[in-house]
Amino acid sequence: MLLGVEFVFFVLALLAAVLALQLKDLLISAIILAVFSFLSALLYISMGAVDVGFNEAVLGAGITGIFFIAAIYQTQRHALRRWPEKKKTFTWLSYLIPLFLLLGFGGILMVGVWTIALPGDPLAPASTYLSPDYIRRAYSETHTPNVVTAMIADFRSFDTLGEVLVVFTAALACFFILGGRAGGKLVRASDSPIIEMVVSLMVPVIQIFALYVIFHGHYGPGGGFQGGALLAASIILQRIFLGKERSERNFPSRIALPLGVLGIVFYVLLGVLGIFGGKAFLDYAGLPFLMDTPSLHSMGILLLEISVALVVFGALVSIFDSLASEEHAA
Amino acid sequence: MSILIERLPYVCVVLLIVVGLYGIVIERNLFKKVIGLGIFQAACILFFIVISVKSGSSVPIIDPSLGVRPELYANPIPHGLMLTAIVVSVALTGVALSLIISIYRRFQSLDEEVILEKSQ
Repeated sequence: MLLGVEFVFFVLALLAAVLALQLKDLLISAIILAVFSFLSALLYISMGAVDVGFNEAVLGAGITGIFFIAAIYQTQRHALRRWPEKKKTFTWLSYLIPLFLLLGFGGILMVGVWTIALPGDPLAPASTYLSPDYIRRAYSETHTPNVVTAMIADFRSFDTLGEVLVVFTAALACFFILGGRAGGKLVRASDSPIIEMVVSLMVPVIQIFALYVIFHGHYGPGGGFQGGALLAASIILQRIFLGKERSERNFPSRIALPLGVLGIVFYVLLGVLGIFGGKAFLDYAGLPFLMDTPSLHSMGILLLEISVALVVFGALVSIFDSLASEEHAA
Repeated sequence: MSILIERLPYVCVVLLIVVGLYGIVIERNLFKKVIGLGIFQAACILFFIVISVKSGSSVPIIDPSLGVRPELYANPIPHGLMLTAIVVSVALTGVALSLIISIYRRFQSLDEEVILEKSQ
């Protein structure tokens, strides 16, 4: 695993990272950052982390990229020259001290990685404490071959609740800072009929694929986060290329945040149903369906992934609408 | 030198972390700082993925014909942790970009030094 295809991906990703920080044109920097995220996703997949790689490709390369582009459209495209207009006496020294601290920090990290377990060691502490137990129990207790989905949606579902709340809180924060409805240069309808037609055909295909990713998360890489982000990407695509009037008719801005709230309510309701069934919060054995316990867990995981997808969908569309919104006269 | 080759994945992670920190600390443009933050996050995620690989293991999706021996599958717990980390990173980037837009509307500049001068 050391000098194979992973190394090629890593070298390209490092080059992309350095390039993104050096360019003066911010729009191109943002696109190179999306390239870096996609190369990182390829790197994660080549190391066996398919769910993480899928997530990074959709969320890191896709959604973060379009967030940057929306923000750059609202501000300015070009960064200033590196040195200030009037040269202060201590300018180069003020760069030297942070550089020294940075290299010192890098040195400390190097000393740190010298002493931990070798990469690929199956007896490393990270791989022997709890994960063999999860790997052995996942299929027999939940009928879900994808161990990562079984883990985040069943064994550790409480953490996932905290996480969807974080995403929703971020969407609320963006809404309070900037306002809600998309407008301005980025969401003008495209002049070209070719683009309009191709995008109108692409959007339903993306949405069906997103639904497939949500429902198939049990058996392969996928799940609620990736599917929700793909749904958000389809709506953002509409906003940018079909224009805000047509896109607002299809999916109004004002329902994005309430859709997120609906997802959180479903999530908590799923947990409370476990209590009504006589078990603990988020214990799927208490769900009121007539099935054997592993199938109940599988059904619970599916319902949880759907509610996670709703929250991620609503929150990401809302963040985009806030970033692309016009300034109100104060 | 052979020690470097053995621990090469970790060295790669440290390199990316330093590049990301350089972006956050030394770059003056606000967008570049957020780009540096994104690079830093990707590097931290890479570290967790590197420690979850076992030699000879495959993706953590159980194949019933192969059984459930743990050494066949990559460690799934850091993967789950990193799924959360990526989603939180996107949310964080969204809020950071909202703040940048808000700062630009107030100060008409994206440069850290200029904003610090104007706000004195």
